[in-house]
Amino acid sequence: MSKFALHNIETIKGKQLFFQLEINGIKQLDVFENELIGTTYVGEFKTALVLMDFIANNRTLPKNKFRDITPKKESVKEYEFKTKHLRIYAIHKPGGKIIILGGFKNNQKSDINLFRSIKKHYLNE
Amino acid sequence: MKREELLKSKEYWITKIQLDLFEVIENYLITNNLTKKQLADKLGVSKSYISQILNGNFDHKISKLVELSLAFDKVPLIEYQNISSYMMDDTLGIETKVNKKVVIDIFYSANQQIQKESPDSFTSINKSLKISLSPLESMNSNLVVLNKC
Repeated sequence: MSKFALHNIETIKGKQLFFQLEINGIKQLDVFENELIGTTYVGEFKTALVLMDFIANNRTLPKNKFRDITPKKESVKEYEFKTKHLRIYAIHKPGGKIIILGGFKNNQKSDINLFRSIKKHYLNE
Repeated sequence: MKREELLKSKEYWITKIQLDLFEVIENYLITNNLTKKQLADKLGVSKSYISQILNGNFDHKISKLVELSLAFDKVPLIEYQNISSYMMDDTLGIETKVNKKVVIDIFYSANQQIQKESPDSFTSINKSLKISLSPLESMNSNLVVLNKC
């Protein structure tokens, strides 16, 4: 059984609080960031952080940068932050958001499945 | 990544400028009840150009940014602030622009009032200005103290 914890993302500062999910000691956003070190995607990752910062400050984003991907009948909202190649998946938490997973555009389908599976386990904990 | 690193990155500022412009246009469309096509016709540009800006992908010349801002009844105020002072404001949760707007608004409305009111009412306006400005003054003294630390 997985052990979950939440960690405040200090890079993002606003009216909403942003957390990253830690699964068995592994912080999901940090691990994604580390994956990108030395690649050409570091800049895009920074852009994704800016998008989160905007949402944290209750600002409006274009639909191609941030969208609600909650399936029908699902009570906890699901969100996707988008840059050209990267995707960050999050869920709603009262007063903020929880980052569950980061991934690449070309792996979007399986990442969303994984994201929903993690979400389910976390919420049932 | 530390917030300081993010604020010092070009990605932060480019994305912020793009998203700010997106909000200006989005608000303009809503306020004036216009479609993208109507806006494109009004500006004499293509609909796809408007969509490109509304997708937050604006990365054109300064002259275009100025032209667009003015077309949306806005002036593009660009401010150059020392990075360490910006970091301090960010840490303290102070938005410099907001404070400035408050001051400008206070003086603007005071000026409007002065033009209408008789000289006898100047004292009361002056008193209300002092009251309105006092939170800013105390914030300023806090910053001075912090700067000294």
